[in-house]
Amino acid sequence: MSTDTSATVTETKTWSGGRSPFNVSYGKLMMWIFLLSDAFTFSSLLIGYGAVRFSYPAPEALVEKIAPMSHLSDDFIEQMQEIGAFSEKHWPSPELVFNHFPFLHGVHLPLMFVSLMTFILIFSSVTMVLAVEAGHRMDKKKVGIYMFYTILGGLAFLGCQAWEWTQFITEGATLEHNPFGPAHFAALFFMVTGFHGFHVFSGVVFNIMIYVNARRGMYEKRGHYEMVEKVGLYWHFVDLVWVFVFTFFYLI
Amino acid sequence: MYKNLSEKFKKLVLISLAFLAINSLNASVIKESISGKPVDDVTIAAGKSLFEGKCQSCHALNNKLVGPALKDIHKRRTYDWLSKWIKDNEAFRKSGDADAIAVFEKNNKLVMTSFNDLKDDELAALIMYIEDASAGGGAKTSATETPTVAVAVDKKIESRVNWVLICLFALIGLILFLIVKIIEQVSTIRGKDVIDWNSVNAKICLAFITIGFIACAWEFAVHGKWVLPEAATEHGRKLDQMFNITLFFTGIVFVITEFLLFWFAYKYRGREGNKALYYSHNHKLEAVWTIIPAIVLTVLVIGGLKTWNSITNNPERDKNNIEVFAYQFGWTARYPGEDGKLGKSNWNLISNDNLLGVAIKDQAENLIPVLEQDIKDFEIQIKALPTKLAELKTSLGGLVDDERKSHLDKIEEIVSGTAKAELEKKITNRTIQINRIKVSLETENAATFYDQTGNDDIIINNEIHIPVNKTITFKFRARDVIHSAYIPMFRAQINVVPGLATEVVFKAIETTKEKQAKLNRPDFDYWLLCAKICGAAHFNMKMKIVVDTEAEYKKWLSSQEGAFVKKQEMPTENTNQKDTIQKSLVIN
Amino acid sequence: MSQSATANTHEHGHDDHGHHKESFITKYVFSQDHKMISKQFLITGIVMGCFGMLMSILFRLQLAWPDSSFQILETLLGSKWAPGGKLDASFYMGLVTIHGTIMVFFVLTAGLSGTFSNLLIPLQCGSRDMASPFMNMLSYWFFFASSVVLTYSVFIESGPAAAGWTVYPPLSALPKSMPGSGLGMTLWLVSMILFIGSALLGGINYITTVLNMRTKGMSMNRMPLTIWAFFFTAILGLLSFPVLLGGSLLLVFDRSFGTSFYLSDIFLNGEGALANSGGSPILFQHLFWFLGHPEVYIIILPALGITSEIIAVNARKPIFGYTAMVISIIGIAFLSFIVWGHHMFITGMNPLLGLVFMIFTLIIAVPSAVKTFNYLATLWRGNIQFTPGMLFAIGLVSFFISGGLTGIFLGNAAIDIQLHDTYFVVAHFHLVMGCAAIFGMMAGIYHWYPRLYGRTMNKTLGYMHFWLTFITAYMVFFPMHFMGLAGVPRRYYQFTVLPEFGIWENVNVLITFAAIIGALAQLLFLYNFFSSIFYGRKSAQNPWKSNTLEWTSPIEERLHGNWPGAIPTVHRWPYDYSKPGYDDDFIPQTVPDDGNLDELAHSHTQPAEPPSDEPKNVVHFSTLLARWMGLSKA
Repeated sequence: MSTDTSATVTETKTWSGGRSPFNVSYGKLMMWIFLLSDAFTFSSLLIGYGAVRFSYPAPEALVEKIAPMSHLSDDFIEQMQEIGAFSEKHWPSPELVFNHFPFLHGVHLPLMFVSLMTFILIFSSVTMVLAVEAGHRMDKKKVGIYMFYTILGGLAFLGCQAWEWTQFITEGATLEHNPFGPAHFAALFFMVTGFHGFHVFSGVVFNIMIYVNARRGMYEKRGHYEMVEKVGLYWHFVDLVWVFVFTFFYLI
Repeated sequence: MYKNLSEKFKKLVLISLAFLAINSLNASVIKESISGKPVDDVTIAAGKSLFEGKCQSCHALNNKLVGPALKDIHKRRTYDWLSKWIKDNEAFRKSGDADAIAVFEKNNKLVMTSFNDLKDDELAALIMYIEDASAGGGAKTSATETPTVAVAVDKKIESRVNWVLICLFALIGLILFLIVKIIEQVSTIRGKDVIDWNSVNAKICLAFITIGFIACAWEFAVHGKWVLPEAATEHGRKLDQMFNITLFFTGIVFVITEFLLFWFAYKYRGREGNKALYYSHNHKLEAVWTIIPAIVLTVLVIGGLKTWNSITNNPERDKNNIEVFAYQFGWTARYPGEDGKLGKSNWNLISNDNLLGVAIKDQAENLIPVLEQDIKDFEIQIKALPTKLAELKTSLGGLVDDERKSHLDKIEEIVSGTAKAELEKKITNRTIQINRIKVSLETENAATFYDQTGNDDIIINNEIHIPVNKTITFKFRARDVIHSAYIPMFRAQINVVPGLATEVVFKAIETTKEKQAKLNRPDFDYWLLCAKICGAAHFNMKMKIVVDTEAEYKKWLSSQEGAFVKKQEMPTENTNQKDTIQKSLVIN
Repeated sequence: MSQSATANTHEHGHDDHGHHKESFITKYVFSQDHKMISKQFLITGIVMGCFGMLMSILFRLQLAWPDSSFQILETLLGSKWAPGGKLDASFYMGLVTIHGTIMVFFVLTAGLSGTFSNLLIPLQCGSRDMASPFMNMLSYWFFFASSVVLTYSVFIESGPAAAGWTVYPPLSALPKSMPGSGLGMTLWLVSMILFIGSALLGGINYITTVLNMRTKGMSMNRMPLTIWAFFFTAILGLLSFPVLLGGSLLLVFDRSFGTSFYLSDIFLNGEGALANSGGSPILFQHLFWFLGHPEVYIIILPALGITSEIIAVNARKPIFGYTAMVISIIGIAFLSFIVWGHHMFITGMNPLLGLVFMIFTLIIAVPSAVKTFNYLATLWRGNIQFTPGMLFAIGLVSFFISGGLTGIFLGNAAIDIQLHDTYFVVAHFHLVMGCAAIFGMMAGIYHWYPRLYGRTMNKTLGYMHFWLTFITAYMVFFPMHFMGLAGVPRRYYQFTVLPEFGIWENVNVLITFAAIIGALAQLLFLYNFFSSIFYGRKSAQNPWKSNTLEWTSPIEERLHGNWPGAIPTVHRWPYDYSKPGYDDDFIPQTVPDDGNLDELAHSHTQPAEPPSDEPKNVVHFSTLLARWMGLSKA
C-alpha cells in the first residue's frame, strides 16, 4: 500500500482496521521494527563496552603532559608505554591510539582518519536521501546515480575500516592482546566495529541489489520506488549506529 | 606448613577425637595395612576425618560419584602408586604411568585435585581408613555412602517392581481406552452425550478443591515440620519474620482465590435453562481489587526494604574478617593471624604451596622458577609430539573397545594440532603469569602488595569456627567458576565470583552446642553449601561452621598455626620436602 | 468500502486466490501459509516437548532412587553416561540443562507463541496471511534448524552443555571446567543464535500484521485478547532477544577467541592460572537476564491471552474488564523490562539497585492479580461449558495463582537471600511455566484443533488427560516448596551432602512416581492428537459458538487466503456472549450494528462522517532536502 496513492483511506479512522495506522506499507513497517530490534543488539554491545570501559580509570592526565607533536616517531608505541600512557592499568586515550592517516606516515593526526570515515558515511546517507527523493519523482536516472554514489561511499567506508584494522593488527593489537593498554580495548574495538562493519557490508550488498533492480526498471514497472526507501532506512540506521560507535569509542 | 611431623599428627588425633564423639568408634577389622604402618584405631579415625575433609566431595567407598568408588582400592593399587597419584596425579600422568593415564581417561578426563600437602603419615592414615572401611569396619561416614548389599537387593526388587508397574499401567491404559470407546458408541447411538460432562467435571472440580485444601493442610503439617529450624543469626530472624508476614497475606489470597475458582466452576456449570449474565466490567470493583493488592504489596515492599537494608548495610561490617575461598569442589577458610589483617592475594600466585594465592614475597619469588620449568617441560612435550604420534600408531594394533578408542582420540588430537595448540596456550599463560608476578615484585607498589600481613594468615581446611554474638564478615573469593556460598541456618547467601569480591555480614546468636541442645539433635551442625552450579561435584561441596563461645573460639584459634610462618624458617628436614614438592610439581 | 478491502489483498508477493499449483513440498514442507506453519511449529514443539519430558524422567529416576541402578539408563545413555545403570553426575547436569533449554525456548516460546500467533493473528485480525509469508516460513525453518542442532548436541561424545539453562560463564566459557562446556556448549550457542533469528523473524511479522493488516472495523479495541497478548509478546521478544544475541556473541568470543569479556582471575585445576583479566561474569548475567526475564513473560502472556479467550467463550460471558486486561498486558510487558535484577539479588549487587528491582518486581504483581480477578469474575454467573480447553484454562488460573504467589516471596530481596537457587525457586517457576503456560498451550490445542485440522479431539480422552495431568503436576511441585524451605539447593545430583536432607528421600520417590504418571498421561494426549487428525469426528464450522473471526473462515478446506471471497468486515467487539435481548447466546463480530452496540458497556454512537485524519499536503523530508539543495523542483 503505497502512501502516496491512498486516496481511499479517508473513509476509515486511523486505528479502525482496513488500513495502516502509520500510513506505511507492511514492508516499510517491518523494516522499522527490525531496525528497532537491531538497535537493541547494538545497545547491548555498547552497554557491555560501557561496563568494561568504566571499570578502568580514565586515560590519565599524561596526555596533556605529552608535548604537542606533529610527528609520530617509529617507536611511538614504545615511547608511550614507557611514560605510562599505554599501560594495562587504565583505558588508553583515543587521541593517542587513533592518530594515523593513510599515505601520511609519521604524521600525528589525532582522530582525523576516523573523522574522515564518519564524513564519508554521512555523505553516503545524504546521497541515499537524494536517491529516495528521486524515487518519489519516479526519476529512474537520478535514482541510479545517487544509489551509485551511496554504494561508492559504503565501499570507501569499508576500505577505510579495513585499513584501520590492518594498522591495528600490524601494531600488535589482537583480540587477546593490546599494546595500547588493556586487552579489552582491542577486543571491544574489533568486536563492535566488526559487527558494525558487517552491517555496512550487508547494506552495501543490498544497495547493489536494489541499484541493479532500479537500473533494470523493476521499480518503474511496479510504479513506486519504495524498495529504495526501505534500504534507505537500513542505510540511515547503519549510519546512526556509526555515530554512536564513534562517539562512545573515540570521543568518550 | 606445620611445625613438624609429630606435632601435626598429634593435632590430627585431637581433631579426630572430636569427630569420634560424633561417630561411634568401632574396633578396626584389619590387621595390617599396605602402608606398612602399624594399624590402630586412632590412626584409622584420623584417616576417616581426612577422608571426610578432602576426599568425600568426589569419592565414596561403594559407588562412583565424581571419581571412582574407593572400596578395596588397596587391593588394586600399590601403596607407592596411590601415594604418587594422590599427591600429584597430574605429574604422575605426565610421567607416563599407563595406569594413571587409564584412570584419567576412564573418568571423563576430570582432573583430580593434587593433595601435595599430605604428609606421609597422613597418607598412611587415609589409606588405612579406606582399607578398614572396605573390610567392613567402623561406622558409616556419611550419607554419600550407599551400602553395597542393598544395591544388589534393590536392583532385584526394582526389576520386579518395574515389570509389575508397566503391566499395571498398560492394563489401566487399556481399560481407559475401552471406557472411552464404550461412551463414544453409546453417545453416537443415542445421538447425544450419554454423560452430562458439565456436571461430572463440575463435581470433580468441587472434589478437587476440597481434597486439595486438605492435601495442602497435610503438606504444611507434615512437610512443613521439616523446614529449617529457627535462624541462628540476628538478621536471619528478621528474614524469617518477613517470610511469615508474606506467607500470611499470600496464604489468604491463595485460599480465597483457589476456592472461588473451583466453586464458581461448580456453581455456574452449564445446564439446561442456565443463562450467563452479560456483565463486562465494574469500575468500582476493579478499582478496589487493584488498590488493595497495591496496598498489601506496598506493606511487603516496605518490610522488605527495611530487612534488606539492615542486611546489606550493616555498620559493623569489615570488623572481623574471615576469608572463605571457593574452588571446584570445596571450601577453604583463611583467618587473619595475630596482626588482625588478611593478607592480599592474587590468582597468579596460586600454587601447590600456596593454594589461596596469598601475597607472600618469597612464595612469589619461588614460584617463578617453577613456572619457568613448566614452560620448558611444555616445550619438550611439543617437540616430542611426533615421536608420541609414532608410538601411538604402532601400539594401536591389537587394542579393542575403550582402549582403542582412547588411543584413536589421542592420535586425532595430535594430528589435528589440538595437542600442540593446547600446549602453546599453556606456555602463553605461564609466560603472562611470570610477567605479572615479576611486575608485581618490581613496581613501586610491591611493598604495599607484599606487605607482611599475609605471612601469619591461618588456613583452615576442615571446619570454620566463629565466635557467637560478634558481627563477622565472611569475605568470599572464587578460584575458578561462580559458586554460591549458602549457609541455610544463618539465612545467608552470596555468589562467589572469580574476579569479584563479595561478602556476607552477620552475627550468630546461638552456638552450635546451644542449637544442638535446643533441637535435641546432638549431631546437628551449621553447614556452608554451594548453591550455584559449578561442575560435577556441585552437590557435594560443603564445609562445617562451628559457632563457639568467645572462650572456645579463642582457644581454637590459638591452637591453629600460620600457614606460611614456618615455611620462612625452613629447618633442614623440611628442605628435602620442599625439593620433593618442587620435583613433583614438574608439570602443572 | 471494497477498495480498501482490495487494498488489503494486494499486499502479498504471491497469488492469493489459491490458483497456483502447489506441490507436496510447497504445501507441506516449505509452506508459506500461516496455518501450515503454525502446525509445523506445533508438531516440532510437541516432539521437543516429549524429548524434554523424557529427560526429566531420567533425572528424576536418579533423584528418587540414588542408591539403585536402572538398566534402562544404560540402554538409553550408554556406558559412558550411565555406567552400570547409574547416571553420571556430569551428565545429570547436562540433562537438567537441556531439559530447561528445550522447555523454556523450544516448547513454551516457539511451540506456544509460534503456533498460536501464526494461526490466530491473520485469522482473528481478518487478514489473508501474515505480512510476509516468506519470512514466516524462514522463521519456522530457523526454528527447525535450531532444534536439530540442540538435539544433536545431546548425543555428542563430550556431552551436551551442562552449566544449567542459564549457562553462566566462567563455567560455560571454559571447556576444561566441565566436559559439557566444550563442543556441547558451542552447539548450544549455535542453536540459540538460530533460535533468536527465528524469534525475530516471527516477531517482526506478528507486529506488522497486527498493526497494518487488521480488516476494516477491527479497531484495536475490538481485537480479541489473544491478539493483544501475542502483539505485546512479539514486542517483548523483539526488544529482548537481541540483547541475548549480544551477550551470546561476547560469550562465543570468550570461548573461542581468547577475549576476556566475562573472565577474570581464574585458576583452573589442571590448567593453571589463566591469562584473562578485567572481565566480569556478572556482565553476562545482566545481559542474559535482560532477555531472561521478559522471556518468561513471553511464555506466560500468550497463555494468559488464550485463557481469556477460552474462558469467555466457554463461560458464555464477556471477559470481565476488557480494558483492564489490555492495560494489564501493557503494564506487564513494560514492567518486565525493568525487573531482571531480581534473578541477581545475591550477586553482591549494589543494595540500592536491589531495592529498585525489588520495588518493580512487586509492582508487577498488581496487573497479574488484576488478570486473575478478572478471570474469576468472568466465571461468576457464567454458563460454563466444560470442554477440555476450558478445563485446561481453569487449570492455568489455578497454577497461575499458586505459582504467582510464591513469586512474591522471591521478589522480596531479603527473603530471596534464603530461597535463591533452592527448590523453592524450582517449585515457583515450574508452577508458572511448566504447569500454567503448558496448560495454556494445551487449552489452545484442544480449543483450536478444529481450526487446525477440521476435526475435534476426543473429549473423553481430553478429560482424562486433564485431570491426570493437573493432579500429578500439583503432586510433583507442591512438596518442592518445603524442600526449598529446608535449605535444599537446586541442581543437586543427589541429596547426600547433609544427613538432614535424607528426610526428603521418600518425598523424592513420591514426586518421581507422580512425574512418571503425569508423563504417561501425556500419552493419552499424544494418541488423541495424532489419531484425531485422521479419525477424529469432523467438526462443525463453529463448534464452540465463538464470536471471533477465525471461525468464519471455512474449516474443511483450510483455504489458502482464508476467505473465499472478500474478507469480512467487523462491526462489534468479540465478547457479545449471552447478550440480553437476543435468542442466541453469542453474536459474532461480523454481525452488523443494529443500533444496539454496547461494547465495553459504553454505548457507542457511530459518528456520521468520520473526519479524515490524512493531512492534505504531504511533503517528505527527502523532497525538502532535495529542494533545498536545488536538486529538485518537485
